[in-house]
Amino acid sequence: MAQTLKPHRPWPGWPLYTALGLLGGLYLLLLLGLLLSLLFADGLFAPGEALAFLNSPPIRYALTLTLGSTILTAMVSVLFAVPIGYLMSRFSFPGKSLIDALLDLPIVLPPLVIGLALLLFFMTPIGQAIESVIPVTYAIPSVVLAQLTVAAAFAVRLMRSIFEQIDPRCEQVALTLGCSPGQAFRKVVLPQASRGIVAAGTLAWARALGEFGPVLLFAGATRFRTEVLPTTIFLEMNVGNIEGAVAVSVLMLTVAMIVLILIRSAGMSIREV
Amino acid sequence: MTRNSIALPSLIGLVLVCGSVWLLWSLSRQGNPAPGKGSPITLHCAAGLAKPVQRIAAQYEKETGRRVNLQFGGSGTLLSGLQVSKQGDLFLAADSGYIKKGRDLKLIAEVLPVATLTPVIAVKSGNPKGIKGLADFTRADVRIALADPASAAVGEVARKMFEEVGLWAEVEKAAQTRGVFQPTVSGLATDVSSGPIDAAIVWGAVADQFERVDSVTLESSDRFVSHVNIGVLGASRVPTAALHFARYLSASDRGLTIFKEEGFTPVAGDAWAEVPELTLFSGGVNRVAIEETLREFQQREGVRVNTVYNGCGILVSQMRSGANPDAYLACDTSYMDEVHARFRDHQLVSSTEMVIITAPGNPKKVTSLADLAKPGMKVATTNPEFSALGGLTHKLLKAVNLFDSVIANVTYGDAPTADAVVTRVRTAREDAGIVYRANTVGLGGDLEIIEIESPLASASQPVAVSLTTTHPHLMDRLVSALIDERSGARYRDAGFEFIPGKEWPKP
Repeated sequence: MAQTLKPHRPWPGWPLYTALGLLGGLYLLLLLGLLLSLLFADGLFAPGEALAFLNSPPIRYALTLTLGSTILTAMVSVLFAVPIGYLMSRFSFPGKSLIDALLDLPIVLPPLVIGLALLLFFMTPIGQAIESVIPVTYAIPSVVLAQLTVAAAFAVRLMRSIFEQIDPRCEQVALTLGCSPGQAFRKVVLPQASRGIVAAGTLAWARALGEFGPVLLFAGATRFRTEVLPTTIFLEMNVGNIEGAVAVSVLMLTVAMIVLILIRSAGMSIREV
Repeated sequence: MTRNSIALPSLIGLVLVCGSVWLLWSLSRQGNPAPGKGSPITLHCAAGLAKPVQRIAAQYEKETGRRVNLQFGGSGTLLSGLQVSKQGDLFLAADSGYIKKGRDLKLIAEVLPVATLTPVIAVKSGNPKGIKGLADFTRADVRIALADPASAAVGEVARKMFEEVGLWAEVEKAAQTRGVFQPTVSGLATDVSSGPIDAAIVWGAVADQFERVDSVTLESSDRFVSHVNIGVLGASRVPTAALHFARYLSASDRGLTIFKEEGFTPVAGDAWAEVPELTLFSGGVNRVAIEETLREFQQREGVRVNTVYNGCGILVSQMRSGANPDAYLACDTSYMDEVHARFRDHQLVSSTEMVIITAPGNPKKVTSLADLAKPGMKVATTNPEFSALGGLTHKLLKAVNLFDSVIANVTYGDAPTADAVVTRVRTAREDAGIVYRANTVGLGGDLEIIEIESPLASASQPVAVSLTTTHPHLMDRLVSALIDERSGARYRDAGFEFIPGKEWPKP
């Protein structure tokens, strides 16, 4: 954790900090400008009309699907990320760098490629066998799967760096004091990583919320079926309902802000990890 | 560190997982129709047509209780998806080019016309830059947007329009330097509505959907109209349900009314009927060849075709006295000529030769038409008033100067159809008769068939759709089914030559 700088008078570093502040401020200004333009540009956002639109059945469906799928995605991402992150941070084995590269693939690849690959996978005999048990393509499971494939990669990467920061000596001490490896993991490692786990879940959730490309390709844009909020924005833009698209954007912004503030007020943030 | 410190978060996690799974499960239940209301169908719909189609699907669900899942995207994007996934039931494309491609790829079976789209220039409300025509696209103070000709139909149309006036190279450069290329027509309209773009070529109906957009009519637009069609996907597991909605969407008094309200130019569609009932007049000779095709057609389309088989002379006189079939499959072109003014799009389906059949064992040793004129022969023919075969037989006999001598030997000349002639000759009540080769298929070896050496000894069967039918497009699909290769195989099995598309001189 960086120590707070106590400036002396005269403050010797002021030209540097001012320059840095100005540069960073530009980006903050851009973010603020974007927020304001969503809310005020061209009279596109009228709270009353926006609420009425958001309360229409297709949008309510999209909101529910978005919340359900993103929360599930976040939870499952964490379920994958904790073991993978732990193993990758504690052990060396042949082929590790290959697995490392594979785990980073969803982060590097354009999301559309993930969507196309998922679509193609479910056309293979294995995929078809799965489809015959539970329909995936163009149905709700495909939404979760499309979000999960990308979001989990981010959670894995974060969890790994969290476990790497936890000193393995605590575990070793616990083992010498008579803990089994399972007890050491449960009682020593996991509590230390708890904030990181929440952060990884939040990051995965945020990724899932914004996921559009793979969802469009793999799950489609079917109203009352696979329409999530980003899909709504795409559909409304396509029929010229810019007001509707703005209303949904503001809704997503609000939901995202609420979640981030809640997490932060619970004393955790991605930054602290 | 107590055990509790991870028990509580785990519990929260478990609750969240269970809660979200339950939520998604209940949503997926919501997406399914109540049992007994038929299978839901999926329509892959060009995003630019979303507005009317959403209304039509809602009205359809209300009226019929059947559900339509709508899948939106660019026409080209949807088509690529269909190629990979082979899922869904219907494809509504913004331009016939995508439907044609889908047909070529064997993805699409039936095609129903829906509407036409006319290109206009989209400008900002009030046309502040005073844009009047294509030439304004080259002005330095006008920022333009073009659709990518490879991915959007409107882009291809715009390219042709600019090429016609010799401006394409200049306009393409202007879009690259001070404008933008977009993959869809909606992108263009959005750019004009809320972006920095002053002018773009878009479909008129799309421009109308966008606020803060005016359209400027183009003089040449008539020649650059695009056709919106809905195609039934070959992959559909419920083609009858898919066709039911496709008929609803393209019905003049249902879906097309909504298309019109939304600013589109609908085609002259079929009238709506839950189960349309149609009448087909068919010459008796065609029965064996078309029965199976008609059965399949009715089953797939969910329609009823009442087929009246009869001698064509009888059918023609029925039409003259007021009968008004939706389509007519004649025995010979001469029997279409008599009523051709009632029908459109005449086309040939098949032809069959006229042959002589002889009694079992050919006791009178008949080898040619001339033998029928020998004294003592007993000959059976069909009635020339009722039957095309009878009329053609008389024409043939007159042409080879055997009319009087053969007619003198006709002991049974009143058969309404060739089948009656076959029965008489088979039972040896007559020595020989003149029928179509198609009538002799499957009769076994005891009948001898003698070919007639004359170009007149042949009948060609044309089909045509009534000018006044309330279901012209459905009848077109019936005709398509008849001239399809599957039908062709049945025609050949029934002893016909299958010659769809062959030209014939019309009166």
